[in-house]
Amino acid sequence: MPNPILVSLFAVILIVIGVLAIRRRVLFKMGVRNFIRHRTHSILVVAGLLIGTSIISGALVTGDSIDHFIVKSTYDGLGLVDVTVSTDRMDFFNESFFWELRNDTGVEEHSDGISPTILTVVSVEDDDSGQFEPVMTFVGFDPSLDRDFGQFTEANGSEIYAYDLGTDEVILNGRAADVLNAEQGDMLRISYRPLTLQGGEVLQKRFETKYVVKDEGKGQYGLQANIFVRLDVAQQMFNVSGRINLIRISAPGDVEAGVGNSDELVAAVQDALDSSPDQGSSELSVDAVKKDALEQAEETGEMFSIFLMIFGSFSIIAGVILIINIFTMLAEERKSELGMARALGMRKSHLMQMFLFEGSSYALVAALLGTLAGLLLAATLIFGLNSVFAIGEFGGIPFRFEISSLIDAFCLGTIIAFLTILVASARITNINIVRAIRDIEEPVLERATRKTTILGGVTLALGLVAFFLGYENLIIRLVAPCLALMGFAFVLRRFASASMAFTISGIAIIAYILHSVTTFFEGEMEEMAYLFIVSGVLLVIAAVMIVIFNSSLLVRGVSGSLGRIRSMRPIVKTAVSHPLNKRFRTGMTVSMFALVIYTIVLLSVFSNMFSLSVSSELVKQGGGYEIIGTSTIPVSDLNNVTVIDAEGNPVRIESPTLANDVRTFEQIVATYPNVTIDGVPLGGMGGGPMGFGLGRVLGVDDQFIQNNQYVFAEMLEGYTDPHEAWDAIQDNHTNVIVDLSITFAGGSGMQGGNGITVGDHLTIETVNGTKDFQIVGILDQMLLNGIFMTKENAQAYFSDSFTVYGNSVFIFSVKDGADAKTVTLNLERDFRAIGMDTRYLKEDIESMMEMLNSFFLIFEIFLGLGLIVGIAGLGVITIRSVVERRQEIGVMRAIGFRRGMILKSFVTEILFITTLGIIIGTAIGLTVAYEIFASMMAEEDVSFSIPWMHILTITLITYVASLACTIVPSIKASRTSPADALRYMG
Amino acid sequence: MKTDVIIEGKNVHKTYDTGRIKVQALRGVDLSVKRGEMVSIMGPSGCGKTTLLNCFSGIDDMTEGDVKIEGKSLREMSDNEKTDHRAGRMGFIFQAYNLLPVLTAVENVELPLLVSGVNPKMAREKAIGILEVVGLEKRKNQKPAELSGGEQQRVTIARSLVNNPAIVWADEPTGNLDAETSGQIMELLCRMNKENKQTFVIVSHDPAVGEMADRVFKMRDGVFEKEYVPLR
Repeated sequence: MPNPILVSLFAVILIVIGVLAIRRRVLFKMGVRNFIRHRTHSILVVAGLLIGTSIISGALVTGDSIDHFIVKSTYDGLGLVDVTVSTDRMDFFNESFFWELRNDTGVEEHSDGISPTILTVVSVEDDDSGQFEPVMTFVGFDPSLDRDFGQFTEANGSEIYAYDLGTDEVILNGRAADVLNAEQGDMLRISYRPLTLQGGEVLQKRFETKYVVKDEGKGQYGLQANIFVRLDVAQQMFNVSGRINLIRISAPGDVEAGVGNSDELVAAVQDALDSSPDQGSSELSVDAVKKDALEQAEETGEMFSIFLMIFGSFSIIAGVILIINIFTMLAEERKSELGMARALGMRKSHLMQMFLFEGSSYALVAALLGTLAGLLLAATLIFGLNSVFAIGEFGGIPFRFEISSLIDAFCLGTIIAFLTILVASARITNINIVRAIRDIEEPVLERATRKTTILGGVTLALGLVAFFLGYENLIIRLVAPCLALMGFAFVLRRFASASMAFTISGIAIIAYILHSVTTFFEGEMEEMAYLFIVSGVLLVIAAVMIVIFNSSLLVRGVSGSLGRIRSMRPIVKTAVSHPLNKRFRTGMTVSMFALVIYTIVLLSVFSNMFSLSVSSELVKQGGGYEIIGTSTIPVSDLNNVTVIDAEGNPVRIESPTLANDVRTFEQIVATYPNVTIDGVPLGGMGGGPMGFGLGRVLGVDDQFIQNNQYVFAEMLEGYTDPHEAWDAIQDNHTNVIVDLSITFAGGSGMQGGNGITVGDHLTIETVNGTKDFQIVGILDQMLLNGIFMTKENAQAYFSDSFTVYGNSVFIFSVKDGADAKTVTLNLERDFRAIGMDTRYLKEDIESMMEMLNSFFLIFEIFLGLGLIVGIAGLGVITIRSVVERRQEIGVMRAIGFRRGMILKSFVTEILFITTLGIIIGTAIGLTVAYEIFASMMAEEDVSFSIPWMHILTITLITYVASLACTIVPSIKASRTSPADALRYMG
Repeated sequence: MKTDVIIEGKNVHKTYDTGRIKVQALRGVDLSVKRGEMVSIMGPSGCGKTTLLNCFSGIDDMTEGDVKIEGKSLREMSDNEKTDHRAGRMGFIFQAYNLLPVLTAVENVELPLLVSGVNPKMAREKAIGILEVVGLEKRKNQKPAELSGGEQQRVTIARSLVNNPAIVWADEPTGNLDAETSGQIMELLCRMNKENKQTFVIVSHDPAVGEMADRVFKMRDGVFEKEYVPLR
């Protein structure tokens, strides 16, 4: 559904325009004819205006596509499953719960399928292809009970329930078959660990691949590489007879329709569990998984749209400036005409209407084209995102759009343009009739009028009052003093020159905003985004104000430097004087460039710093180790792992790589208890073996404590050395160290959005009940994430849960001369039986950085669209200038300006405006970047560096594009015959 | 040795071709002007006066015939040569003043000197000097919009004379001025002509202007109808 407010506003605008057009047909005709009259001019105006709408449209359509992608993934991944019953950690529970639910009339009434499941991960090796996968999703299911969840589809298209699946047979889905290079009939070896066994023994079992099914329906459950076995076989394997860890339930209706019935189903299931005589039911949670995921999808899509729109808002603002600029120029061009019309009896409102009709024509055409251009933009962005995030294996984000999004973009684009035109028209029709008829420039007042001074005083007072009353609001805290300073400038203007008043005000505004940059990070993400936009706009306005009101100095400076070249003297004189004589127009054009360049420079500085921080990140994130491995099956000693093979013979795992290429390695035990802080569960921490854990506890031994080189982001007050923090967890059992990711869990701010810091307490569920643990240090890394305590303490607090639900983490340091990448692959192969998944940290960090950089680049290109607005604006100005100055060109030619000099004069003028925009944008961008760096990152091992080459490239692109857009009218100007030019208007 | 004739045009034709219609603005004009002479081209609107000035000064191209300025044929000059020649040897005065609105009076006046490559400091001194001659030294920092019509025309005259040109071309120099100011402007032009021995070609439809010239050419339909020396 299109947004009703936008559609209503659009309708109101259309009705107003329509009524006015009927009532004032002559004015309507005049306005529309002006639109049609100058084609090139109109094309440039529309090109500049459509960018704003295309950004809105592009952002919404990208959001639609992402939304659709997640929705589709949710439907594909869950199939007919709408509700699940499990414990938070996927613990095993009695299968009797399943039977209770199945026999419950309430559940029966609100469901059309229920199935008991074992869901875990195993290591799988294909004996025929020789390929292996250390971590594969293992689904134990009952083909008969699972009937209501649909069929599997074989490669040949035949559909099966797999009732005939034997005890030694498995089903592989497409993804699993791909990674194992498996075919029907292949013999697979699954390594697993029965849950009740203690120690490091791992069992292996052989299965034959009975079916390879398509990644469709329930075959693609969870969108993972899945291996399906019979439930009874799974229970036997894992020694959990009569137990399961998941109940899948389908609400009435198909894959999509079921979602609407999931609330009733959840209530029915919850009621049934509440009335269960089994005490264990309280451990089970009922989740409307599909509905939650769909809501999340909508939120994610919307968030992405907002994110893009926030970033694109600089271009939208540049578009608004372009509209104001264009209308100011139109008014200047038609000054005599307007004066004459007023003299003949036309009211100011009539002139406004005329501009409104013309402007609405531009706005409607631009909004329509912009909406369509947005589709192209979104397609490009999605292509970029698909390449960066390598999500092709999930089919990639498809290009999808809702008609309602296009309607919203069209309406919003038109509304923004219309409102701007309304304001611009009101401003430009406020003319002095005599001066307009005689085409005399408006006089520059020496001092502010009484009226302006009072207005300035009121603004000053308003700003101050707003500041004190709304101090808590970060946006008011930022904007109010700037408003007061602007008011102050107008008051000061009564007693001092405009140059002095606006320079003082401009400098004060810049100083205040730069000083306030650190306060931005007190806010939530969305608030920060608005602060970023508002501060950018205010900084640019202030800087442009300073430059424009000190234009005489600028002229002197530029003339002084470029004027040293004899042939350039007259060219520079005319080129620089023109733009600085039209302060408003030039200020607006410079602002357009400055705004866009500011955002690009800011983004590129941070993108550059991320790239440069790879090496320092390695030390920080790696803690002196090169490889991290995680085994799904916990083992106590990697040097002594024995596997009971399929024939029942114990086989010790031999790893020549571990013996020869690894210098040292640490063995860490990991488990996934429930962790809360202030009663709120920690989200997004480490994820358990299945990614369901809410927090990961890592038990580390003395060797790790002695050897690791991890750097601390924060330590408890009084600690000066990392060893003090590590000693603290050894000395006191209730002390823990966490990694940096904990500060991001569930929060939305930039620096520890959830406010977790050292000294805070975590509540962790242990075997002896919940216990409080104090955070004594936060490590400045996120690759080895978890809550660190000593191995002894961890085993005491969580006992067998390490062997039942936990896993092992290993960090390896490679010997000199050994190739770390090869070692990584070999370790994974050697220890495949225990589900060892290894990561080469350098590669991990590099790919993470590469991904971030590509992401930044996509956004830079997106932001760069705003440059089109600036360039189109420059094009419009140049075309108008050529017409406006035709007679001047004639005089210049008559008194000795060669054709080339006229061309140079125009080019110099264009370059001058572009350069001002680039310099202001770059200077502000670098200053703000430095302020952010100094307040947030200075203490880290990242040094502030400026990507000069990158900035130079952006600058060059801007210059080339500006010249490309303006060279044609400039050449036309230079080729004007002096006699023709003099005859014009003469 | 310099020839006595500074401007010599023979059989000058100019036809404007708009694609649909052809307008013959000049139909074989012959004109010789001696160094230091002040000649006036008179005639009704549309008779071809301005076209003659444009073609003879090299601002516009002629369709047929040739004009020699100081012995150099305009036909044989490239656009840049003609432009450089104008910059160094000619001055122009227009009816609509045609000052650059973004430059001050002194900046307008010094512009031809800067084009000719004169040192900026020297150009400024010369510009102020010539503004003194036309009586505008106190208004030197005003922009054209802040000057009256007469003042603007005097700035134009100063600009046309600042590079000490051999020839000054004036197109309706008093066209936008009242009788009194027109008189003052013409007196100024005559004074410059006498003092500097510069050649003046003045196009006007005002008989009072013609009266002050050494010779008057009356034009009609693109040709000279009559040539006479005004009685003083």
